[in-house]
Amino acid sequence: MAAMALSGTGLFTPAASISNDELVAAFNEYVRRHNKAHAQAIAEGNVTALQESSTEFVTKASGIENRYVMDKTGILDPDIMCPRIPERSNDQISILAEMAVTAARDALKASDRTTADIDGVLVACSNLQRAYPAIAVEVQDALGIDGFAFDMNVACSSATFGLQAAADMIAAGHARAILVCNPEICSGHLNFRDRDSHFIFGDVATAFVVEPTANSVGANAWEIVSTRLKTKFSNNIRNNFGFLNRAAPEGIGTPDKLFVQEGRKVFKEVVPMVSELIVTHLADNGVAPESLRRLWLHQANLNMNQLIARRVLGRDPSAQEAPNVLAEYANTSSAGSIITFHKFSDDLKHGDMGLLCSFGAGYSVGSVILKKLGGAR
Amino acid sequence: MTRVAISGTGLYTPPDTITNAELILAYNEFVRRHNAAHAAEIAAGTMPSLLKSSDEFIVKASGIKKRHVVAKTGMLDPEIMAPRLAERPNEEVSLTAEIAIAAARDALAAAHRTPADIDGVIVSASVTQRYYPQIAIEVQNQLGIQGFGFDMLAGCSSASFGIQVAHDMIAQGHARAILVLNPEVCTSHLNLRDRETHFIFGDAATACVLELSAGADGGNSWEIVSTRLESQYSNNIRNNFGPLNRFDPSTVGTPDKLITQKGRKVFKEVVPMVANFMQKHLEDLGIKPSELKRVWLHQANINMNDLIARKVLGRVPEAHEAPNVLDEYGNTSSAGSIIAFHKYSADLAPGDLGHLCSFGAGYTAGSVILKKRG
Repeated sequence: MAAMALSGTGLFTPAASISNDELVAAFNEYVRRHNKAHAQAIAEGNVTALQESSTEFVTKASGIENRYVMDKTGILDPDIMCPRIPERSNDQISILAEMAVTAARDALKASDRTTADIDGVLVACSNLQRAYPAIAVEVQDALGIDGFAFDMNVACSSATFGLQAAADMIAAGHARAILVCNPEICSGHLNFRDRDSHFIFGDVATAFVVEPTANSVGANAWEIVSTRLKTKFSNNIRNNFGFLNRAAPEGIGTPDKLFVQEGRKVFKEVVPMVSELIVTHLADNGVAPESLRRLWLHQANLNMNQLIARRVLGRDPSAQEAPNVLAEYANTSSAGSIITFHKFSDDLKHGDMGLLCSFGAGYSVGSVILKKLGGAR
Repeated sequence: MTRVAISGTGLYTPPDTITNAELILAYNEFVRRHNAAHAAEIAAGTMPSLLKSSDEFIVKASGIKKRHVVAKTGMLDPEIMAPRLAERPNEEVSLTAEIAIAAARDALAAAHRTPADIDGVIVSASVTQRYYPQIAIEVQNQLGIQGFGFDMLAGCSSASFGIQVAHDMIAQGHARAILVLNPEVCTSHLNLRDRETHFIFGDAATACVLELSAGADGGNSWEIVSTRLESQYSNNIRNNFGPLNRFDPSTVGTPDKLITQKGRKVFKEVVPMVANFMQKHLEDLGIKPSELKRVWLHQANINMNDLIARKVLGRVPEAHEAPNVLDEYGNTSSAGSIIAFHKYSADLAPGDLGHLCSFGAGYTAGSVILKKRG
């Protein structure tokens, strides 16, 4: 079987960012206005007063200090609490495709490839801007790529699931190389009025090129030693927004039409599921955890990532071994593990082993064992 | 290379149907009320009056005589003109998962397989009911399947695109068998107030079991000889509904948040794209069109399908050579070509060759060449 490589990665980071202080100031002002407007009902016990939040609470719960966003003004307006971006006409490129294209160009450059070398485009992300035409086909067109394209959606594990789908299609002879893009406008489905989750997500896009190792020339190319996917149903991370909402108008706009998470349950259930999958995956491939030079984990939550890294390595990881970008980027869904790989892999040497693992809503877990092809020997 | 087969297919058909006559009655009543309510503007020339439709117009334009629907209620009410279906609590199985499961059980029975034999579930459809947790994972859970599941979208070609992905994952050793499911609740994104498109879609779910050809023992199993996918961007079939709509409240609920289609442009552009694509695929494999015993096409439109079949075969096809289910089902998006295959493939003989091809929004086209196992 032909070996496949992750031959180059790309990243698009939005220009605007929101600090915890800014986010909490807007949230607390919203809470004050809400509690004032409902003062009588609160006094009568008919409405529960909302609680203010704090930067300390956000940082302690998540490790997040900032997040990048496609629009800052609407999110920080206590009367709006949602991004405000005018709708584009059909003859303009859609915002999700635009982000993906920027990351894709970066990935093509890193892998020393041009669009003429690519036969397929996957847009794999947690939320698609529309159902059809597929965003991937729009990206394919914007880049001038011949071949095929489709969208995949596997929440926070979309990148690793897309990587396996791409690698298998190339190995089967259906494409010479495939571009996988993960544009994530997480602010699109985030409830900025919810104290438990309003700080979690940021916007970003990542992209990577998959092609046979034999053709791969990128300076920071990695052989895909093995991939493994696992899913197990859970309603603990759920969003009921979708096409059928119009069949039940009374439910339109209720809070379950945005991101809803039972954070404690997720922590308790996902940590063992992910740790076990990684440990078994490594063992089945004869890779000892101590031979891993680096772990690139989904960027969900600092406490969760540290616990998973500890269970896999059997000891506390150094900051360098399991790098985090949560402080700067927050949770960027499927893009998170690819950002850490993009930023923290080119210092490693030829032959070094690493493990990339995504996990999240579904639940879905994707594990990818990588071995450096390029780099100093 | 390892050979993979479609070892069984399944179909879920919603029990309720709407005939053209019923649909037209509701539509024309909507038009009458609309024109009466806006009589002054229409008389003043500031608003065009809406045109009534007819059964004859629909049949001539599409070949469709009726469609199966998950929720007849609401669709025929001139004041509503949309399905009405109560939301289910999170603890209950969701509608899309439920119809996918019904089709999946049918396919498992046809393939002589149980959930224990399956390692992956792909829900591939033109729209998905929600983004997370994925519908495929809900189906996987309900059926008690270990392994993995994910959702993918490729418009009306979602089934053939899903077949290629599943084929390649099995061939590379990532699963023993995969269920590819196409639950299509097309009425959820249909504009029943639009004369050009209100009659097009129906609801259905289809399922295929894919597994290694060597182990397949279903009574009607077909080896996948080759798959090929193509896409070319077009806005001629488009729907702007999505999670970012809330960024611009002034545009929420506008007609572009339902299916919009420029039918004539689609016809003109997609027919040559698909015919050339199918011909090239056959040619590259050294298969002559005359060797094909059957062509299972996406069920879009009778005129389109007749023209594509004629171009591929080089002559007018017999009805049984390129079977259509449009009259009964309407266009069921990605499920269409699988329904045609499901209903019209069991009579063929071992060694017979057939060509399944989907096409639609994107544009996307997926070609699957099949050979009946003996």
